[in-house]
Amino acid sequence: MRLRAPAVLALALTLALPSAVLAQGRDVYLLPVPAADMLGSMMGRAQPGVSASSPIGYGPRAGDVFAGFGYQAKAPGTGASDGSFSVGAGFLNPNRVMGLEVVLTSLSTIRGGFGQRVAMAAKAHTSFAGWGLGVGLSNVQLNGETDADPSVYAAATRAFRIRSGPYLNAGSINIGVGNGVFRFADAQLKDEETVGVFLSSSLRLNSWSSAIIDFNSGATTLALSFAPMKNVPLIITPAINDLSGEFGEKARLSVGAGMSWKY
Amino acid sequence: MNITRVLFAAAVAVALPSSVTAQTDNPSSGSGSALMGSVMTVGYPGSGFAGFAGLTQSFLGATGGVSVPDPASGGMVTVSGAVARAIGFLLTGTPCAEHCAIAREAFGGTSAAGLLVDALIALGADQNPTTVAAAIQAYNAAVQALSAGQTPGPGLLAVRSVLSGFVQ
Repeated sequence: MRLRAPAVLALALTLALPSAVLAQGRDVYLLPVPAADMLGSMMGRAQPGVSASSPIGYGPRAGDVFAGFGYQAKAPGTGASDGSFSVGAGFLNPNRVMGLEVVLTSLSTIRGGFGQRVAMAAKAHTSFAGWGLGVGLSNVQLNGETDADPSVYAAATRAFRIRSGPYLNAGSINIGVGNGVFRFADAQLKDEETVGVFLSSSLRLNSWSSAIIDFNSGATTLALSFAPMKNVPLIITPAINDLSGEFGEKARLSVGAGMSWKY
Repeated sequence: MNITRVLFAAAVAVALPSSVTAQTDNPSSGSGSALMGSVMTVGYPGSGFAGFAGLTQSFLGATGGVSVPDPASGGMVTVSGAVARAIGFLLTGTPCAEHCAIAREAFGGTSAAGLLVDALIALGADQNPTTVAAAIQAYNAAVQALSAGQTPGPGLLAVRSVLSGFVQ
């Protein structure tokens, strides 16, 4: 029996079509494999910030270390510029039970000198149902005077995807409560034994920048955060602090910068 | 100490400021303190690490089903609690025991599925560009190794939801 060419072609197409359709159908499940240098830059580049002044629920794990400084043109109370320097590390694993963060800060480093006033902070944190949950203690005096009594806080943070694509694709929400330095300005100035609420939210503008609004101690801060260098895990965050002047002068300019490593 | 460039800077940087800023951004009551505002800011936990950490924790703690996205339908599918927990164990780098068999079966039962199990354990033990790329490649291979007419099940889609956080 002779088969006509069109019939052979039709038969071939019939046999080939399902596999072609299937292959095409499976494509939707596949993930692009990023080039090694792209992955390296993604991971080497720090992520822009989600909070400007409020603590958050996420934290480092064992093997993470970090350092940074902050500068404010007009520090509250003095009107003079000042800065601090901090180093810290993570311990344990928040993905299993909990992580622990420990930070040492040289306070008032520009005016008072490095190490003249040192405070410690610690935070236990874990991840649960997509939230970062942390409980921390800050302002523990180690050397010289601290700015305030030790303060305890709890924070919950969640990041969420807004849309696909490289721009405006994610946001975050952070909420917490604490005493001491987390009290509202009035309560701090009157030294009332109360607790304060802090809230912050951010919008990721692109892979290397974000915009932040932060409400802490009754003061509102607006900030932009940048991870400017492709292969260096540096974060720089300029901010306008205390828009309403809860602690005196309004809209104090500050900038923070930090880097972190894994060993 | 062999310090390498930070991996998952999000988590570290996220933690970085939290305590620090708490110390420095608030003026003391009456001390005229010198400290200042936002120190370093917080890394963005929107992808990579946070997605990985969050999903791992969700899978580990699953008592019932866990919903994961299905890119074909645009909807969600449910992965069983047992499979979710098995994947959670893989993503924490737990060496093979019963959970590997459960996961391998959930990934299609092929040899590629077995390699995906190994790749996920390696990823769980250490998240770096090499292990991430290897896990994505192993996932793709497991999908392509499915028999004709078969589409990825909830187990593979759960893995996809984790790995997609690294691909933006």
